[in-house]
Amino acid sequence: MAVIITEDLVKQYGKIGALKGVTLRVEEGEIFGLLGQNGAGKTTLVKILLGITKATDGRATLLGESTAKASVRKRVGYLPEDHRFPDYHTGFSLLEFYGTLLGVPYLQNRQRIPEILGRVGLKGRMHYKVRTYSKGMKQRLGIAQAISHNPDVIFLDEPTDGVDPVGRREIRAILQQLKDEGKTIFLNSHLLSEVELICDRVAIMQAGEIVRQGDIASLTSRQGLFLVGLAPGQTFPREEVAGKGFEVAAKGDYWEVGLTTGQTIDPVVDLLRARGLNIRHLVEERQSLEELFMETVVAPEPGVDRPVGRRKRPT
Amino acid sequence: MKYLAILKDSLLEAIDTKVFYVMVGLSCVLTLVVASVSFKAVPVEEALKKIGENSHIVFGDRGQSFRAHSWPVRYTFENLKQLNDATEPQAGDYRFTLIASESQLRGAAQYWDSRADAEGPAPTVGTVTDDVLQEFVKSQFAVYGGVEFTRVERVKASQPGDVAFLVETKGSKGARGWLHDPCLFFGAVPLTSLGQSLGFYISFIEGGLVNGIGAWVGIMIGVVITAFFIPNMLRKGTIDLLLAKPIHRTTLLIYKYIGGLTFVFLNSLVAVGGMWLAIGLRSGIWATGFLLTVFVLTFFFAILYAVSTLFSVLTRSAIVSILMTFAAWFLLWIVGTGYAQLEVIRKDAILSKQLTVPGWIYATVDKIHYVLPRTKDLDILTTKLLSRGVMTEGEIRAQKLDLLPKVTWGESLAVSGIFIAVMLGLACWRFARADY
Repeated sequence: MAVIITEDLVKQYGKIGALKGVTLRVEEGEIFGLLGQNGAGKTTLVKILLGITKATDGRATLLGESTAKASVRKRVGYLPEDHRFPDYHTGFSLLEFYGTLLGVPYLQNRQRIPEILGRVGLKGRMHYKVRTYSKGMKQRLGIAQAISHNPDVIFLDEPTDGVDPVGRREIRAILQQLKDEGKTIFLNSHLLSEVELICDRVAIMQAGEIVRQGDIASLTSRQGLFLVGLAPGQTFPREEVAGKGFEVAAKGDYWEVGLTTGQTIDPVVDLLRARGLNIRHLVEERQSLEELFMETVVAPEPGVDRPVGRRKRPT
Repeated sequence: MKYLAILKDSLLEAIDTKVFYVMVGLSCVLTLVVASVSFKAVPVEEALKKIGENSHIVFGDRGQSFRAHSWPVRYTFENLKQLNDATEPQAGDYRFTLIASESQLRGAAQYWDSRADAEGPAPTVGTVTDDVLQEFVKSQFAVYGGVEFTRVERVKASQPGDVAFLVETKGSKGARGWLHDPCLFFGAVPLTSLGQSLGFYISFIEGGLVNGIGAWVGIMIGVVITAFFIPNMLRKGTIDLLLAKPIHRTTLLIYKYIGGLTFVFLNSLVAVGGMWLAIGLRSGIWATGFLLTVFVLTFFFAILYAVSTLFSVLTRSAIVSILMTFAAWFLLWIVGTGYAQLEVIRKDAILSKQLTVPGWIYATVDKIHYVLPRTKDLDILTTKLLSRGVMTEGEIRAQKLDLLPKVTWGESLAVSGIFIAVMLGLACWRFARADY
């Protein structure tokens, strides 16, 4: 069941089109990553889903209800990117305040707060003013407030921003736990390696449009390129493989075999076996999410000059 | 619960700026200063003399007319004797001989008894019966000193040209009309010979210090502090967190507005309540009218805070909100005062002949007055509340408080309420449609 659905979502700020017909679905229980440059429209999309900003056109539903309904947000947690907590609160009082606005019963709210703050490593500082927190601690507090009321869907905008590597690992573990609990997580992040590690599916936005969308494995696979390795001392029959119409190139200790349209790797495997060669390595080549992102998004960030050496994305 | 959470949030914000502590601290200091003022009842001889001196303003039509004239009468008191064993001067029953210059007394009594038109000349001294003289002195001492004459009997004066009365008085249970001498700082600084009643001093403290300067300063600080509540809530990164919660925007804004009002209400309650307690304990006068000014102050602030809320939503700037609120305050004051002055000119036959005010000015000021909140009416209400149960009838009349214009409270409150509703309505409309 899809918990987030957008159809042809459009957001216009005067003459600037922030979203130009965004359509996507996020299924229940998955971690969905939304990638894109600054100004691509990621935060606008999240804000529309949360009712913070209103769409100019199109349709958006959250947990089967219109995003305009305030009551649906009872089941939603949100950590904004540039969050600014009222610093006159302590960690505890802030969560108590937000919990009350979310309709969490008083006693349940107070009992749950230490547990949640303990989960993000802030229990020892929960009665200190927020202004005394480091950036990383505020980020942890942000995650705590997003999950404190046990929501079904959690929107996290740059959740590891300002967090040290150890902290990032802890946050990844928390996200994994939430996923295991069946929560749906919608993640906006620039840290592609993080996204690659924890997301099931991603979408890449550019200039208000979704330009790529799918599960990470299929998006990062380089279809038609295989890396083949033989047992030590054996020689790869390059001429014979090339003679069958495959492109062959040496790549370190391995050989990269390129398929053309309609070909499979099976004839190469058959040939190697027929020659009595031992195949020790055979994988379809993949690219990292960062490579995919850089390949997909080549335009400069809106309002910023084109970086030197960046080429235009081929059409 | 959501309202309480937002109220608590607003209070935490105010407390964090330390200004809340300063305001509560100032209220406590003021309460302490007021509590340090003690009042000592003036002995009966001196009190009677002062009442005689203070009663030189005479109101026509047996005190019922607004027309007043100064008719000094020099009174002397002889053979003063206390008839009961009361320890407090105001509680004593007394018998004494009251002597006055016959011509002065007759002149004053005739003016008092006259029913001449307010605009006409003061009547000339003529024949006044003994009954009128007796009623006159009885009335003047009751009005200016709260002294009740139970017996007034004409007796033979020892000096020619004088008139004498044998007078018996009944002691009063209350002390508000009796002359008192105040002492500051727990008796360290005595202020003698001011010759005013206890009610007058209390009215001065309540009206002048607390409701005058105190209210102005309190509301100004209140405007400044609360002006930050909504812009701070609307900051990027803060408003996102609130709007992502299951609460309607209108509800959120209205709760925030009520939070600001509650903040000022609590501050006023601490200041006025503390002062009321101190005054009550020191003087024995527990005037509820003073306590009711808390609501008047809060209502006045509600008008200003509605303006502040609108500009906070429109501009997200606390500074702009403060400036616009003060501008609105000034405008309301100008309109209220201007309207009051025009009313005086319009209703006064002599003034209206001397001053030619173009009709369009009347029409414009009337229209503006009818649509804007009646803050001037709130001033009148406060003044009336403060004088009630504190000042004597004579003091009220001497200060012309009974001449305050009549106010149609239903209309006044409705216009102010509609103004608040319009300001908040516009603010909510804008807030509900804005993208953050």
